[in-house]
Amino acid sequence: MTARLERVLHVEDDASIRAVARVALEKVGGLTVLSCASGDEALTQAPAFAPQLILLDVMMPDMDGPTTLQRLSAVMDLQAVPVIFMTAKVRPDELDGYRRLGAFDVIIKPFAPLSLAAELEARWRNFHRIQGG
Amino acid sequence: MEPQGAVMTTSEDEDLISTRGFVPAPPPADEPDRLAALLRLEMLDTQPEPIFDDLVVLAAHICDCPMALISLIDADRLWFKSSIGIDLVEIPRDLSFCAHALTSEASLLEVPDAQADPRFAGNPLVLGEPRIRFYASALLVGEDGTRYGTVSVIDRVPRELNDTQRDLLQRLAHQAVTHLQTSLARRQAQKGRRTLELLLEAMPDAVITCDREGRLEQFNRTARQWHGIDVRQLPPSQWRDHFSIYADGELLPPERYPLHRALQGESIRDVDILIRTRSQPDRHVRCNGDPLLDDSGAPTGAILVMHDITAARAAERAVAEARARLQSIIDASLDVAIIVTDKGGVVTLFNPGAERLLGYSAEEVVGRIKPSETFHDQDELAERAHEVGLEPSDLRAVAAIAAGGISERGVDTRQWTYVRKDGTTRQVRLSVSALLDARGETRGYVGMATDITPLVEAREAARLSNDRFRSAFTASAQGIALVSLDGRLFEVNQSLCDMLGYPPDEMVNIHFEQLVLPEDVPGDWERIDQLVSGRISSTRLSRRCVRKDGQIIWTIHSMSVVRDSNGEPLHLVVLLLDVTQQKHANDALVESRQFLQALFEHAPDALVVLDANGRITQANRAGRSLMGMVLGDTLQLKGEGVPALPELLARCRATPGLEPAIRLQADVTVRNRDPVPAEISLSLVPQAGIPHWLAIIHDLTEQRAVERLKQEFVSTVSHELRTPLTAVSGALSLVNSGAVGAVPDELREMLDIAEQNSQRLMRLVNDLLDIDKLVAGKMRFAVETIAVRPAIDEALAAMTSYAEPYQVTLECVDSGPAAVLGDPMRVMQVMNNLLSNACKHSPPGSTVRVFYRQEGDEVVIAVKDEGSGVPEAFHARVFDKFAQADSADDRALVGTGLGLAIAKELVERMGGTIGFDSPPGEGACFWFRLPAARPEAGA
Repeated sequence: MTARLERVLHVEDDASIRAVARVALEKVGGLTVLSCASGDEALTQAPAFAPQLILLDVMMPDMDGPTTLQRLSAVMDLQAVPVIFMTAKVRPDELDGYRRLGAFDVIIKPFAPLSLAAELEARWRNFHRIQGG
Repeated sequence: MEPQGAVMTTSEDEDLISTRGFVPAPPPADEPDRLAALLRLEMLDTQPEPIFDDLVVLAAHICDCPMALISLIDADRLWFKSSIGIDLVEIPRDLSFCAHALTSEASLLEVPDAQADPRFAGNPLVLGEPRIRFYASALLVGEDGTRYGTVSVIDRVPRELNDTQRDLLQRLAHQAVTHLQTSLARRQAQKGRRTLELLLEAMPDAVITCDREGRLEQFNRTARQWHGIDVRQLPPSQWRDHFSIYADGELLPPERYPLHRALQGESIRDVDILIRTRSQPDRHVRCNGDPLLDDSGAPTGAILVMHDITAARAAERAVAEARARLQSIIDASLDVAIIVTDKGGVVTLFNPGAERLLGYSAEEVVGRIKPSETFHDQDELAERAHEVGLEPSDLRAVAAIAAGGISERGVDTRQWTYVRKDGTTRQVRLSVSALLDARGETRGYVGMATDITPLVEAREAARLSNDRFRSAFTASAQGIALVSLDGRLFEVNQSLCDMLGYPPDEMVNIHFEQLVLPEDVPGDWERIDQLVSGRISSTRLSRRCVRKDGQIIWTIHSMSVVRDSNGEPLHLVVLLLDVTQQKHANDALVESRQFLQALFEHAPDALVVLDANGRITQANRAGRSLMGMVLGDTLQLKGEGVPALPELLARCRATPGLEPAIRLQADVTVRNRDPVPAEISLSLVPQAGIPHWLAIIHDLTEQRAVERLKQEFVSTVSHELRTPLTAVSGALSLVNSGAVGAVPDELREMLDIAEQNSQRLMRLVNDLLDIDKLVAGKMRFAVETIAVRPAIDEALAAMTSYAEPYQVTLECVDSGPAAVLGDPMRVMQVMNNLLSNACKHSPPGSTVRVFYRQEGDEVVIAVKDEGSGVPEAFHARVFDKFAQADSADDRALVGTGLGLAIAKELVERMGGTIGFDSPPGEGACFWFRLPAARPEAGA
């Protein structure tokens, strides 16, 4: 297992968020980011990209985050890939719901762009700590 | 026969012969009687009869003569009843040989040779046809000796009869006479019978006879009429189809009909029967009948004569009925005493009415008592006797007085005092008339007495009542007026004058129309008409009257009509009671009630009145429309922990009053309809002493829906805002951080402004979401012990950068260790909100201080600024959402308007309280209290 988080798949229908997230993760965090505008796009590109972590917007048209997650798990092995949901809907019961759907954690919009990469990395490490333990 | 002819010869005969050649026979001495007898025989000019023809043939044969005849000697002719050998029917009496036989002593006249007899020799009958030479005749002598004529034989040759022939000729004559007389008897019998039949037919009585075998013979017209048919034409088996015979109401079988009884030998006397037929009215008849016997006493039949007694019966019955009716009237007249006395004044009849009036029984009185001595008040009687100048001891006079005093024929009616058996007296109106017999003689007296005691007493009572009315009239506090039927007041009391402001003399004769409002006049007349016509007996109504000074007063107005004894209306009595003051009070009450009623009815909340079982006895419009409640429905409350309604109502009893005794939220329903969420206030409102409850039901359906909509809206909007805000503030913070390159100085200020405002917008959205979560109850609190001082320091540190732009110094006033129970993150949020609020309202250069102190089992934390304080007008709304005081300082407007509202919600959720003090000129001090916790070691 790589000791460092390098490749992040970001699925988000909003182009502005995608752009901000890309800058925050690449420029601030030095990560390699694959930005996909939809679940379909992610399904075709993700296996080749082999992300170490997936940041998945929950509310998307056509195919929402949980569905995308379900489909992705069919086309690639996600055993070692933490999936973080990103959402503006933040109700405690919803958080539990997302976890049941396979999310490792949830990041609430608005996120802090300067610390986003660090937050992802912390969760990635935590994921692997749990996995490893 | 020689000597006979010689004897008959006379000188006179000689003369006749000399002139005519023969001698007519002289009439016998008894000729008129004989002729009369002959006429009575009624044989002259009758038709031939075989019996006589037989006798003539026999005579001719016996006497061996060619001619024979039976002749009757009429006044001037000889008429042949029968003849043989002669074609003539009659010959003149002068020429007849027979006439000579009339005067002959002998019963037989024989002329052996007519030519040799001077009496006949020249007779044309001798000289010409039939050329009589021999003639012999025997006289027809009746039982009474009348000589009617002869039986004669004639021959054309002279000869003589032998003795046998003579004897036989006489016997034939005798036979002829017998037949003549028998014929007469038969004819007479026929005639009599016809007469009898006619008589029978014409009789008004019914006559029927039957023969020995019971077969009907006579059945006269009357009988036929009564039976509706000629019964003779019917076989007895069919009689019952046509008529029925009753006796004493019993249907008789034919064998018991009176005629049949007579046939059995019974003598029927005055037996009454009823004949009922189909076509005739019932007929009562009285029968008399007998068996018919022949000479030997053997029965030959029966006869029955029936006399119609229907009319007599009816008359008898009418008399009996009239008598019975009269008797029943007398007996039934309980209200009229009828006493009949004989001429001597002794009672002969005493009806039940009299028994009742006088208290005596008829047995005690009839034949024993004289009304004048026993029933009358003796003093009164003596007084009346004295008035008419009679001595009371004069029995006849007293009777006459009792009978009315003077006239014996007329009817006298006057009032008397009767003394009852028990000694009490009654006033009676007594009519007495004399009872006359057929000759007009007084037989006795009839008295008819009516008890008028009640009337007399009533009159007395009326007199007293009138007196009392007078005094009441005068003294009454009510206004009273007697009003003529044309509407004019003719008598008034002082109260009325006072009430209407008129002097008494002006009131009298005033017309009521002057005392009322014009628009009320037609209605008044209508009521008067109804009273006078008897359609209503009295009126009572609220009424305006006009005083003399024009002021209008309210009265209770009663009116009734006074009638005479015949029921004719005399005048009106009007009573007036001045109720102006009550009227005003009542109006106010009515208005108030209407106002309350309108309030009740039109209140937007459902108002229902319940009985102890929760049944709806009254409901306003909103109540009726809420789930379609109707009176009688039982209201039900549902919800977690909500007691049954009757239980709740029972709890209400203790706290009557206008304040709702119980207020709760629950779902309400009736008849298992879909429940409606509502806030319900219950209070006890007794009605007519019976406990009832007013339930004010505030329908929360809409409010809940609005809240839900609002939350959804807020949630959605917040989410939709967050995404672009995330992009904006994220992009700006990246730019400002230099992550995408150095920022030129000339852009930095603007970019900072943009970033700060994007963050402010973000806080606003976060606050909105917090409120949303709080209101939805979806915020979680992880309660733990929080050391107060470190928490305050942390908050101050976090807020320092925030306070900088306001040039406000933040500091904490230490009060030693203290700890509270709460969610650290939320406590921090509360302090941040209070601190940011204080900064915004602090003048530059001022200090915001945070105090804390344990008070009992609570810790109070206060944030005090040095600003202008909370405006008085804003106090009540300080913790409302989006409430921000108007302020000249536009820095106050940079907040979201949600901070204090969120702080309040958070504190209260953690079991604390929040508030503020703002003494004028001392700035504002916002504080919150949380449950105290034991301070942790080392805190």
